[in-house]
Amino acid sequence: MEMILKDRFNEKKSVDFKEGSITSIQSNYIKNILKNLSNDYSLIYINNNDLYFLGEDVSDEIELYNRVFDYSLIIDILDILEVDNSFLKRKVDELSHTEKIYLNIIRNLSFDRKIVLFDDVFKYLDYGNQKKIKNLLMYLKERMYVIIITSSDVNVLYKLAEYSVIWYKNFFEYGSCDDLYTNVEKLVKSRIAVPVLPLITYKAKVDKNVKLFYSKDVRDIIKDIYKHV
Amino acid sequence: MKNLFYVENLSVGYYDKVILKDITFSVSKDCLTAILCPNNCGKTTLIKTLSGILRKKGGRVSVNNCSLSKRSFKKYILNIGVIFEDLNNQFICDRVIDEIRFPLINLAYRKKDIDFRVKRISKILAIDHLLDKEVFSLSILDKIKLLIAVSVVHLPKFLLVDDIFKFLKVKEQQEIFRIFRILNDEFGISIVFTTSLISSVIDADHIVVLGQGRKVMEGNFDSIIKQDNELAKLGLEIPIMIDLSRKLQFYNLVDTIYYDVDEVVNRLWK
Repeated sequence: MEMILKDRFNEKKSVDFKEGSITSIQSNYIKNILKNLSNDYSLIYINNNDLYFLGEDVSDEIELYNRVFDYSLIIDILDILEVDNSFLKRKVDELSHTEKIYLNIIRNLSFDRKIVLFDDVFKYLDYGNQKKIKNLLMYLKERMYVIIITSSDVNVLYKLAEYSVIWYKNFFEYGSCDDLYTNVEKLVKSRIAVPVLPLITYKAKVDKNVKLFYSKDVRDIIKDIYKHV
Repeated sequence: MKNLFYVENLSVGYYDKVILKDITFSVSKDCLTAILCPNNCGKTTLIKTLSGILRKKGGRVSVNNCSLSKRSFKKYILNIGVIFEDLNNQFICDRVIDEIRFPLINLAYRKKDIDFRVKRISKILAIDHLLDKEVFSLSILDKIKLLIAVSVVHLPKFLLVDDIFKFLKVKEQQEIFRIFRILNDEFGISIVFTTSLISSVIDADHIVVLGQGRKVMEGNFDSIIKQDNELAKLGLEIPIMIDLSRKLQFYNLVDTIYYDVDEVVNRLWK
């Protein structure tokens, strides 16, 4: 899905949201444009801020949302989220907050649309549940969905996304997440949040003349630091 | 410090299902206590039980020597204020001022007292400029401040707060902690809050960790974070700077936990 945008100088900006990949966005403007696409039934927008339900039990709720849902897809998702099939018979009122988040994701994904915007879905979840959502993203990726994510935690975006688009004031960049977030100097100059691990690598080089590799995992950077201390 | 809130061998749950079993902890006066546990562990069920909405499955709870029982329930409930997780479903009135006045009217306070208390608490919480606003037009931070005002305006001894930090940004969380400290220092109100975020318990004086239906550990932040592997096993996410510091500590590269990138870089390469 290609998105053509124009900045205030009428200059064209292009973002290519690729099938079977995860793209992160750090731009409220782009997010809002995408969010509006959900009104045209071309995109699924998932946000866990306001969870309102009308159905009595879980399957009621999904049916109210989408009468012609693909049952096998729902079962697959339940499996990935490590939730028993009996979840479908649970009363909505008795669900915990995390289970309500799961229900919100399931009812949204029940639609047959291949572009999904996950808007800060990791926000209310602990590590164990975040891992399950990551597994779900991998499942959707295998099924060639266009997956777009936002997060208030830039470390999550750096670790999870393959491509990234950042638009903040005059700063616009779209490209591979690895390239974008390792160009720390540019991000710092434009006052854009930098993930912790690339920032350590950058500071070590600039302030201490120590050359570390850019890592995505804490364990990798520890090994590298150990060699250089 | 004097322990005023006792929870002894408490079991909580719904119907015939027990979710948390044999939970014992106590809360000291003027203290910020965090109950840290992963999602789906029973945080809300515990708060609902401690506030008397759900019947306990066993054990004993007491505040100021007044136990949570049918006989002394009225006395018990006056000692606590409660904020639940579901922010939007806790408001009764349309306007902010009416919402804060509501519990005091219910408790038959005199008009003069009501006006004085509403004015004082709204000033402390910096919501005095919002008194005439519609409740549903408020931001999340202001809604939480309003809920705090409503819960403490009758000056209870304890405030129970269920998992609200997840709705807030880091700066907003710091603002709420600042308010909690004021409630501690100026009004002697002790706070007990639940959360699944380790980053939210850094400033707590006392932490109780629950997991797999029981109490797993208890202590201050330094003692809890030393057991980072146990916390990770429970499914709790270790914030990246704490995780990094703990692993650097393991290799004797640093001796404390750093929260700032500049500090850790300066410590590693002096």
